[in-house]
Amino acid sequence: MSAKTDKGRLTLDPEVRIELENILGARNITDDPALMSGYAWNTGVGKIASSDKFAALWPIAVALPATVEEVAAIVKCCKRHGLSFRPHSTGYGSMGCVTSPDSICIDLRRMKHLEILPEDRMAVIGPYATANQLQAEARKHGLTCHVVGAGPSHSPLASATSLIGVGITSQFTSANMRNMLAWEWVTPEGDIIRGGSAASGLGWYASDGPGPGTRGLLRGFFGAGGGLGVFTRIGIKLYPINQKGKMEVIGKVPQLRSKLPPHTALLHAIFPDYEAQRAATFDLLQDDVCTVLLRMPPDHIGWTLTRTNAEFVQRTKDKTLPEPAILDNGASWTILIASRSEAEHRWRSETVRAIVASHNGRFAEMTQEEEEVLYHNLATSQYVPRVLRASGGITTSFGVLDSFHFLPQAIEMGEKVLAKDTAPGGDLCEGSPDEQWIWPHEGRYMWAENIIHFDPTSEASRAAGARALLTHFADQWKRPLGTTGLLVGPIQDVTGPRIGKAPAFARKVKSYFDKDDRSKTKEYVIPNMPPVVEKVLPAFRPIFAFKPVQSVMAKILAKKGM
Amino acid sequence: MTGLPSGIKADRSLETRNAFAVDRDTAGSIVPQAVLYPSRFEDVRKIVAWANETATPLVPVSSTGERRRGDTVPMVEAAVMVDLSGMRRLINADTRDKIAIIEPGVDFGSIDELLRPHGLRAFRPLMPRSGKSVIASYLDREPIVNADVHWDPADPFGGTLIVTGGGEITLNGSAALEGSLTEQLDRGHRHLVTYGPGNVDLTRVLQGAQGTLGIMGWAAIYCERLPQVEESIFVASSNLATVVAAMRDAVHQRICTTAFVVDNIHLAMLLGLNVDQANTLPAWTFFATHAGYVHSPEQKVAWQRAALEVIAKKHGADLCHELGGKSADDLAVTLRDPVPANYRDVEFGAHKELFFLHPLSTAKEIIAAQQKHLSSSDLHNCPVGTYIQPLAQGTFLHVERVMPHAAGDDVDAEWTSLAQISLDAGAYYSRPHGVFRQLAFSRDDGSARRMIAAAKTMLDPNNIMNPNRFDAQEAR
Repeated sequence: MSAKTDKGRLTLDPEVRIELENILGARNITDDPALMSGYAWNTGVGKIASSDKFAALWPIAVALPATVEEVAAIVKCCKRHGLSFRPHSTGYGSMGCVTSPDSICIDLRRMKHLEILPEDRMAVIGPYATANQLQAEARKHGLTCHVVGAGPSHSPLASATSLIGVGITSQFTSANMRNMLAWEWVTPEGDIIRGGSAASGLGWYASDGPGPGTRGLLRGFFGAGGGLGVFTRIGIKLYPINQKGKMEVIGKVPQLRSKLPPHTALLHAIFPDYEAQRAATFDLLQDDVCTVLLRMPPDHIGWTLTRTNAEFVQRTKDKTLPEPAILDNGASWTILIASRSEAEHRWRSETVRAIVASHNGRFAEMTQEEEEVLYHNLATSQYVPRVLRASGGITTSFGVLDSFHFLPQAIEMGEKVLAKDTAPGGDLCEGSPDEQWIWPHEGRYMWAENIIHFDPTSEASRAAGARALLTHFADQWKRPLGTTGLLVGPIQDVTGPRIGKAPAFARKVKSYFDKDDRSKTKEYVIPNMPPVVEKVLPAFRPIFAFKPVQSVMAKILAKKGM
Repeated sequence: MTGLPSGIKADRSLETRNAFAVDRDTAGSIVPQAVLYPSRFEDVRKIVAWANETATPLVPVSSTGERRRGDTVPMVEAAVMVDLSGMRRLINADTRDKIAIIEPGVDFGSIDELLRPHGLRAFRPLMPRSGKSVIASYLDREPIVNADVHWDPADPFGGTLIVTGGGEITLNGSAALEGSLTEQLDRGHRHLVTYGPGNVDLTRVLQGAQGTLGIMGWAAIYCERLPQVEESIFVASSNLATVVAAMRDAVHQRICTTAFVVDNIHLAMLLGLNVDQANTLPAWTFFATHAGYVHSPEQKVAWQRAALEVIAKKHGADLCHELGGKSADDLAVTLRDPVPANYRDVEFGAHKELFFLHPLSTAKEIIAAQQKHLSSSDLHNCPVGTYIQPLAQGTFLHVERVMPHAAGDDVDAEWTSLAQISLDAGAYYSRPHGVFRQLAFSRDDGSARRMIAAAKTMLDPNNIMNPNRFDAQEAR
């Protein structure tokens, strides 16, 4: 494995290749640069990219297992030869790229098991079953799955086991870390472990036991991001909907739309200010009145309701954008009501209308086509590609998890961070500083994430994006809005007391199951950190929050990538 | 005898210690060396630190009254009981966010009174006895009857405070914030999230651990708004498949706040009838409650009732307002009425229990397998009730078989046999208690034991918390 390519990359040792070929068959292992380039694509989605088209680190090889036994054998092979590995499901953005030069990419695309168990409102899936496929199959039975913000191309298994898992319909489809049922996992040592009912060979429906809910060691809020072995199969909860069968799609890309099913309404409520919106929200969350509540920034609604950036800009100038896309109308909810009967629908509609009116709100006027576009995007979570259209580079921040009490403050803090660089002449994507996406979970609490748009081709813009990201953390340290869900890697350790003992426990988990750090990622914890460093790091928060230091760090991130 | 930590109320009397050497199900022989009574979390922290320094085993207990299932009976010598029942504070309650923060000694007998001024009430399992600790019940993943809002087995927990067996204090979920709890609450935080922070979920790990990993100091718990209108009804049939199908549809449509199925024997127990009177009841009953909380509650309950009528008609079930001389609304009140005794013991003085998880789609088959065994066993003349609780919004079921019997009856062998038959038929014993404590691991492919050992190593490295409760806990 010592040889290097002319680009300084490690090459696959012939002995390792033979072992992998014996495990997988020759056609399922490759180190062809042409193929591997697809695993080193530097998209910048969800991350700050570097200036290069390709990531600095490429895998040594790509392995395509078809079974859990093959995954375990690959991991053991890596361990024997001192190699690292990174699992790769559907490869959304750059999140699946390897993070060390000695890594093999385990591409799980051959593991696409998908089985719907309609009576038990669940499915059993492998890592390459996409949300789109799962949703399409589930709909045949009057069910749907939770689709995370990344959209229908993501792997529900990956989001449930390893990365965040929130999505715009969380009001009625929860979030994937809570939708995960029984699980199957290849440890970083190559052992196969199953959790819940699957460990007893009794199916994929129960997530915990016998005894302790040990899944909590492997999956908290953020997920280990591929830093803790490979998850290969899970049971996942599905959600009954008021329509059975294929979702009819009308129109042409990008303005795909869908007719609303019977007893369904899409409303857009606008409030005079964020305090009124907050007060209305607490009312809307009682009695499970709404199926979905989503607060999108007006610009983002505008990007969704226009075909091109040029159309959006022109209609902004002409002041012909629909009401939900007008900046002054930011204190708003897009509301989906999905009922099964006329009586139910009447109660829901009248209740929502009464609540909105009681808080001095009103409903935006939209054309049927606009309603249908928003409905289609809401039901399928297609919003990310629409939001990406503005600049091609996005990352996200905050991840506030707490009471809706914090809604006005979340908007205010988000705008403050982005105000300077989104203004004309600033380094971020020009437009409104209002980039906050907000929605409720399970009728109880708020998720708020602030999107940062940057130009991935401009180093100054990438630096501004990184600077904004760091500022979000620093601002949260000063004035907490709630748990910061999007804390990951070293920033957890600097955050220190605000995250309790979580990084230390995650490190214990990492050391216990992966003492040699073979399962490599930047999205988990810094392994093997000496306790004294762990203790001291939070004391450096004022330094990390110091603007000049943030600028220097942002420049480094803009050059090297995250 | 080890010196006990100072400043914490202790009882070393033989009478008190003997009381903790046994419970209703467990003829234990190990008498703890003392019982400690912490009154605040700082005491708990101090006890755990002391236990680590002196290698003293601790057995936490939060409930009062008659204990069962053996998880609060020491399994090693020289253990010290940590009786948390005196920590009975309601720390905070918030109507708007439908959440409260409670200490472990708050029990089902008192919680609704504590919450009532805030317009809230607690989610509860099926007729818990009044002395049962709310936190202990949730920690053991006892099923709540509110399938509609049971999204995940972690429910109804929000953020929590835990001291691990190793003595580390962890703030979990969205409780992981700077400042004291008072400061957090003053800022507006409500600890509504149970998972996390970061990539651990220690609340979930502690659930089902039977006191072997740490002690919960307080917990935010999801609550239910007090309804303005509440109506209950029986959906009855002679056929199990019919009521399960009706319940499934109702739970999937989220039209019931309370939803469970019982057979006639179990319903008789709930209604306070003698088992002999069970024959007057339908073979199977789905009990459903609709609730309107804030917005046009009458209209809400009306459309939900209409939807249930459609479901009942579709599956051929009968709607009844009254069974056994008691209305469904009366039963709903009884379910929330705290009494000291376990309702399963009322008629004969004792009972056997067997509970497990199972997919909803094959509930009929596993009950049939059990009935086949029961009819050919020595228990064929004994009343064995059935309680089926949908969990995770109807993704799977808690199935519970209960046999009331006279206190002196020796039925252990036959009951163990039923447990084995159930296992063979697909019962998943996610909460290992009683006769199925060991059986729960008999089909394990090694994964559960390995993960328990990992949890024990990380959270309780000196093995001071309820040692030997799980065979796997000292293994690695």
